[in-house]
Amino acid sequence: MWNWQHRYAPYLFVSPFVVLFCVFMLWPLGRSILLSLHKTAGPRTHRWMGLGNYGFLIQDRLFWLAVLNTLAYAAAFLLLQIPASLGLALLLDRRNLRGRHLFRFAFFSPYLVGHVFVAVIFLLLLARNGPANQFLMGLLGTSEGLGWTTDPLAARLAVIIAALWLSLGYGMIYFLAALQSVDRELYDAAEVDGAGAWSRFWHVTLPGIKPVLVFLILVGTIGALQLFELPYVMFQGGGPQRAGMTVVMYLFLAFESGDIGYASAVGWALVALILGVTLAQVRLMRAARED
Amino acid sequence: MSFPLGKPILVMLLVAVIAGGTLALRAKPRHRADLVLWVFADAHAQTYAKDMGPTPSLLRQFTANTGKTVQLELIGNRGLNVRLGSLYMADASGPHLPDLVELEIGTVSRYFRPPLDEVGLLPLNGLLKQSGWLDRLVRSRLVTWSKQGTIFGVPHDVSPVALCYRADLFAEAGVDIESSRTWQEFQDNCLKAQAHWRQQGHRRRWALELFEASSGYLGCLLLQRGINLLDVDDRPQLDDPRVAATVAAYALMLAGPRRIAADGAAGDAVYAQDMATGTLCAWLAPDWRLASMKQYAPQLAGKVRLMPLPRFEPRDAPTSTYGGTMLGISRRCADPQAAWRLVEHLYLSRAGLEARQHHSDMLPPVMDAWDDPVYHRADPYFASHAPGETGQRIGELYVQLARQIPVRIVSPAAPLAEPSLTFVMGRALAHARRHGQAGLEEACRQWLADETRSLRRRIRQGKFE
Repeated sequence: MWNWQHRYAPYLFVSPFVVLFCVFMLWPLGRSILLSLHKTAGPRTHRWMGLGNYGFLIQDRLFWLAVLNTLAYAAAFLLLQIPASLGLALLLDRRNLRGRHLFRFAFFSPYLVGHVFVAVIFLLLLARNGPANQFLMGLLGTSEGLGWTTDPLAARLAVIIAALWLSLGYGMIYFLAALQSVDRELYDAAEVDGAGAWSRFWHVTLPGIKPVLVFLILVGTIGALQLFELPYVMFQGGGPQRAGMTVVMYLFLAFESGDIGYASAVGWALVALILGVTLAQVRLMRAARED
Repeated sequence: MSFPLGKPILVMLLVAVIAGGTLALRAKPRHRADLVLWVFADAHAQTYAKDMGPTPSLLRQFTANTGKTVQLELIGNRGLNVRLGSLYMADASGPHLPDLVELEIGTVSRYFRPPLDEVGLLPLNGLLKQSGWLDRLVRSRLVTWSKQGTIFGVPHDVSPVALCYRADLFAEAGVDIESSRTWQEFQDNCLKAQAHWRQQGHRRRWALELFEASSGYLGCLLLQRGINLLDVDDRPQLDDPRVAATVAAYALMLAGPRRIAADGAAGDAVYAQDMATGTLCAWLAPDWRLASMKQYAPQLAGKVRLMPLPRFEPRDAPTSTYGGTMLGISRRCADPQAAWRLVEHLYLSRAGLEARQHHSDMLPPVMDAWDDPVYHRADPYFASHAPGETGQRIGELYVQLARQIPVRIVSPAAPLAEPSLTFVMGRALAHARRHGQAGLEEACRQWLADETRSLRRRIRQGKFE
C-alpha cells in the first residue's frame, strides 16, 4: 500500500494545478493559434486561411504604425521611469528625511488605483477647460490651452505623463528594497578609499541594485508594449491622428469588428514582438555584463 | 480506518468535500423569471421598473396582463456587450442568455457581422408585419437595425438632431442666429457674436460645441447630407466629394481664422456647466440630450432655444440623427411570443409611450403617436418667440425634424470606418490650424482617398458573404 501511495500521491497533489493549467492556459492558447489561421464570423462560420491573417497583418500599414507607436511609447516610458524611480528611491532612502513614510505611500498610492481610474482622472485634468489648461493659460496669458487630447504630440505626452504618474511609485518601492539590501560596509570602505558621492553611486549602489534594475526594465518593457487602457480611455479610440494607436489597441479594433481569427493573429504577433524585444534586451544586458 | 493515500490526503479531501458541499447548499437556487431583459441605460431601467405614482410600473403591468414575470438587469454598456458578444459567439442558450436585450447604436454593428442565420438576434420582420407595426414605425429607423433587409431590433427612438443655443447671449450680441439658413451663414453670424463677446472680455467663449477628438458630430453632419460612412453593402463612402467638403468645413469651424467652435467637457454634468456658464453657446441637441440639460443646468430655463440645423446645400436635411437604442430578442429565447409581447408593451403600447414621456423628452418611433397633444405643448425651459406663449413647442419641432431624418446604416465594418474618418478629421484640423483654408479641401480629398483604399482592403480581408 505504501508503494501505491508513494507512487501516485505526488500526481494527485499536482493534478489540480495541471488540470486547471491545461483547461485555462494550454487549451485556450492552442485554440487561439488555431483561430489565428481562420477567418471567423459568428459561432459556426469559420474559414481556413492558413497564414493569410498573418500575411495581411504584415502588409497592413496601420499595424506597423501601431508597432512604431508602441515601441516609441515603451522607449520614452522606460527612459523616464527607471531614472525617475531610482532618483525618488535615493531621495526617500535618506534616514534623516522627515515624513519619508508618508512620501513613500504618496508616491506609491497611484499604482493602487489602476489604469482606467488614472486615465479618467487625467482626462478631467487635461480637458480643454481642465485645471492643467487653466493653469497654463493663466501662466502664459493665452486664451487657449494645450490640446492634450487633440494634438498628436501633446496627446503622446499626456499618455506618458499619466503612465509615469501611475508607475513611478512601483519602481520606487523595488529600488528602495534593493537599496536597503546593499551592504553598508561597502559604502564605508569606498568612503575610506576617497570615493565621492557619484563614485559611490556608480561603483557600489548601481552594481548592488542591478538585479532589480534588470527586473524593472524587463517588466516595464513588457508592460509598456501592452499599453492600452490609458490611450483607450483618454482618447476613446486611436487618439488624434492615431497617436494613441498601440498594438493592443489594434488588436482591440480587430476584436470589436468581430473577426476573432484576425484578432488572434494580432495577439500572437504581439507575443512575438514582446519576446523579440525582451530577448534583445536580455542579450544586450548579458553582453554589457561580459564587457 | 485505513485510506490508501494516507490520512493527510483523506483529511484534505474531507475538508474539500465539506467546504464544497456547504457552499453548494448555502447558495440559494436563483429562480429565473419567465423573461430576462438586459438594459444598459439607467433612465430606461427607471422607465420600465419604476411605478409612476399610483400607476404600477410597466413591468408590473406586463406581469399582471400576461402572468409572465420579467427580470430586469441593468448592466454597464461595455460589460453588457462583452457578455452578450461571448454568449452569441458561443451560440449559448439557457439561463444565462437574456431573452431580450437593449443595444446602443455604437455597439450594435458587431452583432451584424455573422451570416444572417447566425446573428444572435431573432429576425423580427414577420412579427412586425403580423402585428401591423411595420407600417406604423419610422421606416428609416428600422433600416438602422437591419442587415440585408432583415430587421433585428425595434427602435426605441428616432433621435432627431436640432441646434440648441443660448438665446440670451446671441440676443445680447445683436445676432439673430435663427436667420442662418446655411452653415456658412451660421459661421458668419457666430463670428459677429464672438467679436461682440470678445469686446465684452469673454476671451474663452465660443459660439458652438464640436468635438475635436472624435468624429461623432462630423458623422452626424455627414448624415445630414445623406452620407453614411459605409453603404448597405459595406462599401466605403469616404471618397464622395461631399465628404471632403464637409470635413473641410468642419475643420474651419474648429480651427483657423474663422474659428467658431470648441470641444465640450466630458460628462453630462460638466458639459451642462459649459452651457450654463456660457463657455459654449450652441450645441447639437438630439432629443435624448435635453433631459440631462434640464437636470444639470436648470438655471438655463428660459434662456435657450432650439432651431433646425443649418444646411450645407439646399438638398441637405434640416436635421440629422445622433445616437439611438434598439430592443431585440435573442434567437435562442425560449418563449419568443412572450418576448415580443414585452417588446410591444415597453416600446409601442400607449402605456409604454406614456411612461417614456413621463421620464424624458424623447420622441418615439411610432409615427401616429406624434399627434398626441403632449408633443405639441409649450416647454417653459425653452424661450418662446411667440407672444403669449410660455415656452417653445420643442416637441413640435422634433416631430417636424423626425419626418425628415436621414437613413442611418449600421454596418459590421463601422468599427473600421469610424477611426478612418477621425484620422482625416485630425489631419484636417492640423492643416486648418497651420494654413487656414488654403488647400484644405484638396488635401482632405487626398487623405480620404488614401483611407478609402486602405479601408476597402481591410473590409475585403474581413468580409464573409
